[in-house]
Amino acid sequence: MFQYEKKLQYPVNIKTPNPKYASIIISQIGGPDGEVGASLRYLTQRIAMPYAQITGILTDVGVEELSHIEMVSAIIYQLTRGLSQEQIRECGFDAYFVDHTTGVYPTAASGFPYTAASMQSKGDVLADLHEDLAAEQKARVTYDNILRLVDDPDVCDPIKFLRAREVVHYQRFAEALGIAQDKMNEKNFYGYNPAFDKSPFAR
Amino acid sequence: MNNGLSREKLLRQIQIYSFAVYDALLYLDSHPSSKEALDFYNKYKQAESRAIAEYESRFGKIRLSGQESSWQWTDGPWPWQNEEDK
Repeated sequence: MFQYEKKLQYPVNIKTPNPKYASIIISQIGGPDGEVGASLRYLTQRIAMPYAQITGILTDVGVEELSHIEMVSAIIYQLTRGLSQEQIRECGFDAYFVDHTTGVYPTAASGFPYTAASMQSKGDVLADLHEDLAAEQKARVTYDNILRLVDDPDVCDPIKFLRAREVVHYQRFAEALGIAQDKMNEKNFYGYNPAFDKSPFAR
Repeated sequence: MNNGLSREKLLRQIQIYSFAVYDALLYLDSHPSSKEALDFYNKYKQAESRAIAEYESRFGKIRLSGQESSWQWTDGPWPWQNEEDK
């Protein structure tokens, strides 16, 4: 089961609201490579994962992604505090505002609401781990793109932290893939899904 | 207090304490000045902590404490696995 800690993983202290930035960064909540999808991906994939050590990695990364939803939410909240009607109109935040006011809603910057169609839980060790490696790179690119568009250091600082975590998660998943391949190499057999085809060496 | 219980029975005891704690937590969120609820919460939270300490000393970690003698955190079984997985 899960328990809540009443703190952010890394501080978010934005002095100057900027609804334009918020309308871009919201993608890292509910976009195709956002933190909602990341946490759901790992926390669902881990159930069928037959190797306990990799289940642990998926669990611990998936839980960290929940904390990242909270951090990006804090960024959105602080960027949209005390907006005037002019700011909302002029900054391109009006389309989001009309549907959600300044509530945090899981949507892509393009306006497409969060969809699980942008993630996969395939129930296959190699397919899922490759999905995870790709997901971390796609999220890293999204943070890179945000950093190209944002020049407030108060915003860039937590974004850089989140970007660095994508790189670390990629490393851990690469090691997880190595662990899985070592297990499968024991029988030199890849025409086989250890998450489904039960075997004495699966665990 | 729970000495000698099987893993399954001790875990069930923890779940009972944990549920009482969490249900009281929800109640306290909307009734923060209830002394009765606060006492109930503290009583079962402490019982939960004692049961978890007992469980962890015999069957492995439920949560990490910073006093690990070796890294067994990712060792199975995971909570959704039962006897059929062995």
